[in-house]
Amino acid sequence: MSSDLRSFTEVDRLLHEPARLMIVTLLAVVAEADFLFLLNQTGLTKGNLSAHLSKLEAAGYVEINKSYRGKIPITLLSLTPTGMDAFNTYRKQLRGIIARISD
Amino acid sequence: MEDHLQDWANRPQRYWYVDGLVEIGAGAVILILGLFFAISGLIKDDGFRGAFTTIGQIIIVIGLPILARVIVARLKERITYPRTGYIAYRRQGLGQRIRAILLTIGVAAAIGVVVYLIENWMNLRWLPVVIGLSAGLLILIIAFRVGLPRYYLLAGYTLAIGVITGLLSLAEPYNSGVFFSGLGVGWLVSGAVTLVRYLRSTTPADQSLDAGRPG
Repeated sequence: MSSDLRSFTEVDRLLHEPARLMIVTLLAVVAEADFLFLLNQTGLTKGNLSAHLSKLEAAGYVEINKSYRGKIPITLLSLTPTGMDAFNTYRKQLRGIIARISD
Repeated sequence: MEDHLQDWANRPQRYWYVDGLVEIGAGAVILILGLFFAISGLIKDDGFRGAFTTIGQIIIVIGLPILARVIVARLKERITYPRTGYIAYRRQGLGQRIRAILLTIGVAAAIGVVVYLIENWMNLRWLPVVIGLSAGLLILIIAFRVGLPRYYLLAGYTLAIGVITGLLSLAEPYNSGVFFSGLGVGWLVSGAVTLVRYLRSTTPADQSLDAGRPG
């Protein structure tokens, strides 16, 4: 296996999926966001977004907290330190791959 | 791909301006400042006018933006978050906060120096042009960094109001009164139009939405 191909396989597959990458990128720049914000920004369906969030939560990348604002239920999502590390590593790897392709 | 990541990363920043409430808040403060200058011109030029201007400026420049920020945050809770979602921005670290404070002090000192230079070597009528140019550049940077097309228009408008006021050659404080009032009205109109468009294009989310959420 060439080193270029190997570098592709080393990329975090969980984050490499576009919808999950978008979710993690959005959460990386905020302290927390609610489900509705992610739904609007990603354009995903409720079920689809829910499924992606469950996968990210299972990997320990995203923390999900359910609470109430007044009588309205609210689901708050934030990136965990593990998620932030994974995202930063992914960005570095991606930059490295792009730089190698450009050379 | 990096471009996509950058665009996604900019979205939360852009979201702060999505409803026009920030412009309405800023426009109201600037308009009040303009009206304050205009009213201060009507007061007899004695000791009272000096005290009125100094105390009023401190209240308007320091107190009103804080009040406006609180009101905007409350309105966002009622209008924006139920429609398009809630986000909490990251709190700045100590280093970033110190840098922001130093930058604010630097900008304030630079403005003081510019005002002094204009007052002594030029004519005060050019002050709005200088402020319009500086503020216009700042708005242009925000427009470019966050990706807000209407802010390009606001930057142009800010500069235009500065130039127009300069050309009118009014005496102080009417010069500042016309400049800040014009600027405030422009920002209020921009904010109101954005808010109306936002309200027309969104509806409060169904509370049963939570049923689809994980957890």
